[in-house]
Amino acid sequence: MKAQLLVLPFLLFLPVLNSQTTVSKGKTELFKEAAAETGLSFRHFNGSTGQYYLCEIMGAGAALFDYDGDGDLDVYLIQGGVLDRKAGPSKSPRQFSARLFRNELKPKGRLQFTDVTAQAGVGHQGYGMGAAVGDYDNDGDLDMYVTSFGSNVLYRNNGDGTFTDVTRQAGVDDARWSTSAAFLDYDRDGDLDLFVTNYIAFTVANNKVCHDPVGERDYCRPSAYAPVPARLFRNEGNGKFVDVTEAAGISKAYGPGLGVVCADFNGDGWVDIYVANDGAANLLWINKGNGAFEESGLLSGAAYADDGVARAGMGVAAEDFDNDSDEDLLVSNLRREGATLFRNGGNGLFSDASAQFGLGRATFLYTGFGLGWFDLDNDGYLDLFAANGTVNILEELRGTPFPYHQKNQLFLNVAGQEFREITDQAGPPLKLSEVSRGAAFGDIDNDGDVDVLVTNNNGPARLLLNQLKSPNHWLSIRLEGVKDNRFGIGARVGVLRHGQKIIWRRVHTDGSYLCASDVRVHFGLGRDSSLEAVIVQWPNGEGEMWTGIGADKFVTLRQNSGKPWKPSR
Amino acid sequence: MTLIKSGSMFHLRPAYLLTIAALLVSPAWASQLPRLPPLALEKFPPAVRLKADELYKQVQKDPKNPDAVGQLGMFLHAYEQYQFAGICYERAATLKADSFQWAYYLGTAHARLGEHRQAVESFRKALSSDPRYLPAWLDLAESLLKLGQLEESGAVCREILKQYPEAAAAHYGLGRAKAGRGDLRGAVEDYLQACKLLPGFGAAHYALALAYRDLGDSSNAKEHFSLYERDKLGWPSVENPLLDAIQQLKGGPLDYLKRAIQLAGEGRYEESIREHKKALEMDPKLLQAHVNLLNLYARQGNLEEAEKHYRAAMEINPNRAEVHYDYGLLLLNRGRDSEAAGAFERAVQINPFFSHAHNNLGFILERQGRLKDAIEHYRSAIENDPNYRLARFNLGRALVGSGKNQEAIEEFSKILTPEDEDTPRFMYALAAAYVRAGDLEKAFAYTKEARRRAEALGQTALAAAIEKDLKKLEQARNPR
Repeated sequence: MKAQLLVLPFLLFLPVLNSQTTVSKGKTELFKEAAAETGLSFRHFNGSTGQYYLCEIMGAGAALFDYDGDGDLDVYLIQGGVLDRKAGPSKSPRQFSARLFRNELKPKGRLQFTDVTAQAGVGHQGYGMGAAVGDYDNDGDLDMYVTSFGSNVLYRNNGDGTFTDVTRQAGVDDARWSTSAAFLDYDRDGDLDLFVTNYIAFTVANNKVCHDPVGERDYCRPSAYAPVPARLFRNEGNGKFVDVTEAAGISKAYGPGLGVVCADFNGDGWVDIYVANDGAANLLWINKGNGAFEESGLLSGAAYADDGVARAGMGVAAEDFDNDSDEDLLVSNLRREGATLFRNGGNGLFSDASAQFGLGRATFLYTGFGLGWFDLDNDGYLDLFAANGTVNILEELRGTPFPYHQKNQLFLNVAGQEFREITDQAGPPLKLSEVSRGAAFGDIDNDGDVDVLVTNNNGPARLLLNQLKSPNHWLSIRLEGVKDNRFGIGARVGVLRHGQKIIWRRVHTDGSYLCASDVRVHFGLGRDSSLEAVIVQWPNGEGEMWTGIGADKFVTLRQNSGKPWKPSR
Repeated sequence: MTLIKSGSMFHLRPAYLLTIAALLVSPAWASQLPRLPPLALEKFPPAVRLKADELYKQVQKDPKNPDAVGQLGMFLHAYEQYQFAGICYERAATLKADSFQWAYYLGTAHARLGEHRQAVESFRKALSSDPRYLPAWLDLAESLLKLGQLEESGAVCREILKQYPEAAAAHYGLGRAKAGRGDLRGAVEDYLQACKLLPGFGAAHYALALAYRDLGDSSNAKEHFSLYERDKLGWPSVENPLLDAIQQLKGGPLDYLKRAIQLAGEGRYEESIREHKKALEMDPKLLQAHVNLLNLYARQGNLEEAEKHYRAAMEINPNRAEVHYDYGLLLLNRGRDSEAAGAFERAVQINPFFSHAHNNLGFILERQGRLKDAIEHYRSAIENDPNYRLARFNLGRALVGSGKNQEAIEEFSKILTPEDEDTPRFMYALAAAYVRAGDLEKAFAYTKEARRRAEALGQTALAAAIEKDLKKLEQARNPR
């Protein structure tokens, strides 16, 4: 019934994808910006005082997660703050705290957010950068790790709408400038470990004076400061973590890290770690399966673009964009570099396919940060959203206030063959020019398509609701681990359909930039709603299959409730 | 001459009004000539602004003069204002349709903006005026490659190679065009040729390594990855007087500073000092120049000059950790340990993640007998730079000094790789820690190996010292 109702809007929309002229008249909108009308009232404050402290221009992120377990996505927005008390505004620090907004979709039936920061106890007041989400204590609710310029915080979800700061007990603090973080089960022991990316040894006291090419004062490049190493914390299963950075070999190589994503890139069943470095080789940590990692960015071809020059890696996405059953990589870079698409050859060896898929040139003039592959139109191919905004003065904006803003971009994946930019056809939200940083993805209004939450530096958060109303079918799956971590983070979920290629997606909250996205796995299924089976390859290596699952619904698959299935890779 | 803000619009006073509407005297020109953009010149620092203003005035005086407009473009180009430079070049090229120079510059500006279709058009136009300019052909091939016009790009490279068979960049470009079309074996031949012509051609080695890897030849792939790592940024130099002319337009203090830093990076310290001084002549408050000169003079042992720049830097900003660190080194080398410790302490207060400052502070504290504090600083150094072998070596020594032999053994074991000229002495230290721990067998094995490596590396003094200990160790193992 739902599909029939959706036919008409889609027919009206069809020319949008095929003809730019229809769209340019503004008759259709792919997205509607709904932050203000839904109560998501938040403005990032970067604390800038004219001293050009580098951290001012780098934040901040957000988390999209169902903290209260009521079936809809809540929003956590990270805040900056005052860096220089002598020069900063006189507002109380409280006014600069991160905010948690509860989604009232359930039970109210309409999308509305309520600020529950105080009652939830998550009003982080440090100079926040990003968030990672996962159920580290396997108690069935999602916990959150907040990274900062300064000390980080682990918030344990108490399961009653409140959180407790357990950073000290858990032993996961890092006083350095941390950026993106990710939960992963690298040792396959059933609980989530934590990887924290660190950036550079910048301090406010040690701020350097840098200039743009004409000599105007501007933000420094990260190379003005020494990079600091990332950290890997192993979960001991008792609420405590152990710093295994050195033991696991992670300290052997590092750069100014900004983005991180964890996936099994070489298909050996062990989750690997990819780190996007700003102005240095990106790192691919291959999990050896014995508690140690080996850095193989160079040999795998994922360290550099095809000219062998290190780019300013910011955000990163890992998905199977071409539906060939392996995890590809996309890294956002600096203006005049273009994003780098690393296509996986199926064996963990990557080729720079940015030019081939039309992304290199389309992103060339943008400084990209948050980004993500998601199925905008539920056609089974992952489309792409990129959050942009520079870190250095834009020539054409010189002399204007905050001259760093750019438009975000939207690309349609054309059957895994090409990314076609449709930014100009996407409606008013994609016409905004802001200093965007984070992009988190998830079906916020539970209507069967993926929405995007965008954070802006020194600007408002934006809620981009997908308005496509595609007639294509979909399926949203939440895993419930029993032997593995409770939300199945790291599992691969495949959808089998008669006569069609299997679609594989990964359960994750990581990727993008400073953000955590919906842990549910969303499948666009195209016109065919019939499913043969859903298969899950759990992080512990076991496989299971479920049949009789229909399309266009949200389902939860509990570990050990399906039929055994033998993974083929 | 300031920018006046009115609502959301910006108005420039006449001297900076580069909208050029007033310059478009003839209506015929107005329909063809690109309008020059407004520049917020008041945001440019004085040295740059004055020159831009001068060039602008020339344009104002003679708006149809392609050279005047082009010169303004070149100046903007020099300061990486490619969009505005491109507009000037386009106007100049329109005013002088047969000019190679302005068409070529326009092509380069388009290419820098990623506008390769327009770049190709401009390069072709330039080459039709003068087909002899090699850099224009190379740029054309590159833009075609970026457009995915692999066949055409390859054809241009082949044409170049007919005239210039030694052009390594053209071999590399041809290889890329072939690789893009799936002809990996053909690409390998061209990459090899490029690497033969320029053994330090980093990008060619990288491309070659990837091609070998994809052909399943992992041994050759590894070799070329390693050659790439040795000279990542190596690129064939092609004489390009037109782009050189643009570089020479840069004459502000920051430009001198940039050149000075480059020279220091190349080990040309005297020249670097001269450029730094030029920068300071133009801007005596240029902190980074003082910081660098402190370092350079300290390196040369010219303590008087180093001190002078230390004081100047402190006057401008007393919170630069590097200033305190470099000054600390200076004091340390003069044997003024306590003062040096103070300087390093200040450096780590400002930047608690400053690994070298932690290490040096630890070293002084260790000399003062404050082993516990020294160990703490060595650990901080390692935490922020896990690959800092010297700090780990110092930590190991301090741990031995504290009787924590097992911990010392762990630390020394971590610095045996990568194998280089430091490995024998680190191994020797490991052996010593084993002696302290009472494990004479391991101590003996590592001592022997350290001696072998020291000899192999021609470290005769170290080898001789190890030899003495080896004899003692042998006696200890066999007390008869």
